[in-house]
Amino acid sequence: MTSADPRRIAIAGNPNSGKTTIWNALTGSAGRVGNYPGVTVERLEAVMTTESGEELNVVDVPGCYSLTARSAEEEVAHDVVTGRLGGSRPGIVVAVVDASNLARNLYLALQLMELGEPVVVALSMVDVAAELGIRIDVDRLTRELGVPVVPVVGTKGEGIAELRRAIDRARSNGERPGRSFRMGPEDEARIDRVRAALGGTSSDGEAIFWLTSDVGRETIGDDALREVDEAFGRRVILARYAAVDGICNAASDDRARAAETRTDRVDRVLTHPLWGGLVFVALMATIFQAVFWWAQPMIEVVERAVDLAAGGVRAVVSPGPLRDLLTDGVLAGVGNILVFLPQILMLELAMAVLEDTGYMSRAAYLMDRVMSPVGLQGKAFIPLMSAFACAIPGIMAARTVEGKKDRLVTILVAPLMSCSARLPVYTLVVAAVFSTSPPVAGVLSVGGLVIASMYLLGIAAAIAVAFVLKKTLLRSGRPALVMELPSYKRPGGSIVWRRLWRRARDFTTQTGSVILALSILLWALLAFPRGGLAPQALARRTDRIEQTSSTARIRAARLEDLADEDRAAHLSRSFAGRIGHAIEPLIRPLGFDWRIGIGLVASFAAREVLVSTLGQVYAVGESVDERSLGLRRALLRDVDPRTGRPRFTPLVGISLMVFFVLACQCLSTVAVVRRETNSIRWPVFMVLYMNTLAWIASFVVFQAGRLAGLG
Amino acid sequence: MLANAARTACPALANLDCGRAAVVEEVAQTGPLGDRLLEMGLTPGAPVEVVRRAPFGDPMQVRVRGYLLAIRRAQAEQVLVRPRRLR
Repeated sequence: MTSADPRRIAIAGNPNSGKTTIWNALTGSAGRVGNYPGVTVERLEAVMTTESGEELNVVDVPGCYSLTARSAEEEVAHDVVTGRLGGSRPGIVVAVVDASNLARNLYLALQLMELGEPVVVALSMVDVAAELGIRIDVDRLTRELGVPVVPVVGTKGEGIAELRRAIDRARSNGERPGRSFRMGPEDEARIDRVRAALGGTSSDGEAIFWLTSDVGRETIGDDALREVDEAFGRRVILARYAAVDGICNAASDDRARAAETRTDRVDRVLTHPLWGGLVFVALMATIFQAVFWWAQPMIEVVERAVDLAAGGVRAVVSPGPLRDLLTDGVLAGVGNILVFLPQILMLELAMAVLEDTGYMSRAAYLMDRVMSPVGLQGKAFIPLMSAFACAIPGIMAARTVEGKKDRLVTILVAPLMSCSARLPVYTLVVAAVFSTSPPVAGVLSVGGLVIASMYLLGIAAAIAVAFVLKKTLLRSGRPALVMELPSYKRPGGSIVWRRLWRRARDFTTQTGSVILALSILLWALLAFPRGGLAPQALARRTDRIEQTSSTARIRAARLEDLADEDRAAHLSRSFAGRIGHAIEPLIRPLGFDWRIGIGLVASFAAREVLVSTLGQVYAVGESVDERSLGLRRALLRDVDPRTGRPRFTPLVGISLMVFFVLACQCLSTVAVVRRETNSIRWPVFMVLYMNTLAWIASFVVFQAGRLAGLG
Repeated sequence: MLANAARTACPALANLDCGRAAVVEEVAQTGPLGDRLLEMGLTPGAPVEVVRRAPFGDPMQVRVRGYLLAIRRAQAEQVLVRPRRLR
């Protein structure tokens, strides 16, 4: 075992124990965030100054109930405290213990003490405990535990200075705590043997870890040590809890405990079978509203800022590839990153408040039964719902889903929810081919029905895919649910803000770089090789327009048309155009020609790009949106020279929409999945399965429609 | 429906009436999940009470060692309890 680093301090505690508040009070900074390699548990480090003025590196131990390594959090927690992960072994541990929930919190504190490094207990929530009528004798608790105990009210900063002093004292006298319980002679002999095998400096905690965790048992090697029965681990838990009960009985008195707490009263409404459900629906509707619509003004600000910047570049840089790279590649890429921030932050704000108040686990509790037929847990509901606004915040929110496989399933199906970027595409198609259809049953517009069925198709596909994944690739039983419902509390403003700030920084730097690179690549595909109409032809036709136009306005309009035609010719010959032509045989069975093919290629930057790209391909001017009449007319005017019938029929429109519902066409989503799953395999799998599904579905729709004589 | 469920000598936590005080007798679940239930404080002798059940009766909200725990019926069936005598 490596020796401990005296300048490194770990802060550990149960989830909801007030650890974050104490962390913030001690370090006073947001700290550096990262991920531990191979796992998605957040890694957090910062610097704190002790009362004696020394600077220590503080490392956050993920909130956990035990160090036995049964979940990703627990394993990371154990490895951080023992220095197996994230650098050297911390020379001192602050165990945050929630006074209002003493027994279960002390259980972890005892485990931390068993590891042998100096421990200081920060007794948090003493105000809450007092309110509940729980009396704790701190001196007695200190004696019983044998380590310093400092009562702290983190939100008011009470006890923080004393905690710093206690850390200083513990570091200078270096008293090493130990195990608080004894076991039978055979078990004691086992522990001694493993300690000896691990080396002189190892602790009881280490020995017990090796004896009880799968990781440990596999590594021990010595066959004699491997004969531990499963019951050993259970005997350890019971012995440790017996010690906890002894300490609690001696040092705390909850006979005056209030019969009904505020949490109980709130829960009577919020987890009520009927009222709880209604409140949940109302809350979700509000969050969805916030992510879908309230973020809109901020998105527009971002878009306008990017436009302004592009205008500035155009004013300064002369026309040419460099200018195009800057405006259409770099700035468009930066815009593609920033444009997601309002929605991400809106959702993150909602998640942070829900989690910090304690409501999140109630939401999971309420939705558990609804999600379980699909094989998912209640916590998967919120990420999936927010994916209707945008898959990216949804995928990031899937971090709250427990269990690696369930989290992956949630991530992989989230992009099937029709996000707001698909809406312009649906709107364009519906406006182009269904605007003249008579309403169904006199009142329902066909367009509205078509768009609604696209949303339903996405939901159905997500359910089906989740179901199949849970039965095959990501097979895992219906996960167990054993989840704490923490006491309700007021959300901490600084905790929420820090979380938002971290999320924004994390997304712009780590995912943003990938999005930027891909945006530039896509720009290059659309921009090169350069050239449109043949130069002589262009010059000749320009001359003719100059000479024959009767008024300046007509001339300008005709020149504009010519420029559009030039752009269309260029697009057709660009790499993207060549890809469009190349994939035409592949998409022909879906009813798409090479022009839609270019649109499909371009929409990999972001789906709504389809609309402006089709505008360019169909040569109707550069700035079109889904409502513009020009593009709709152009789509309808475009007739197949062989049959003389319009190419863009309602059937092609439906086929195109179905493709957009199911296809994975968003590079930003791929980048986020790459980052969140920490693998190349899963984003590749997602792109493949979604696009295959999209192709098959469009094929079926188009071919069946043709057989049925539609289009 | 749940109230009428068959009562053995040691009923499961899953079948306990809401508000009925009981004490954990044994965690029948083996393996890591059983350890998890114990580590969350459902140790033999710990007082336990079903607070309420979610819509459709699953999962349920349980009070143990002074805090609230959400637990699925499947897991609660593995926790055997001894109801306290009604006064």
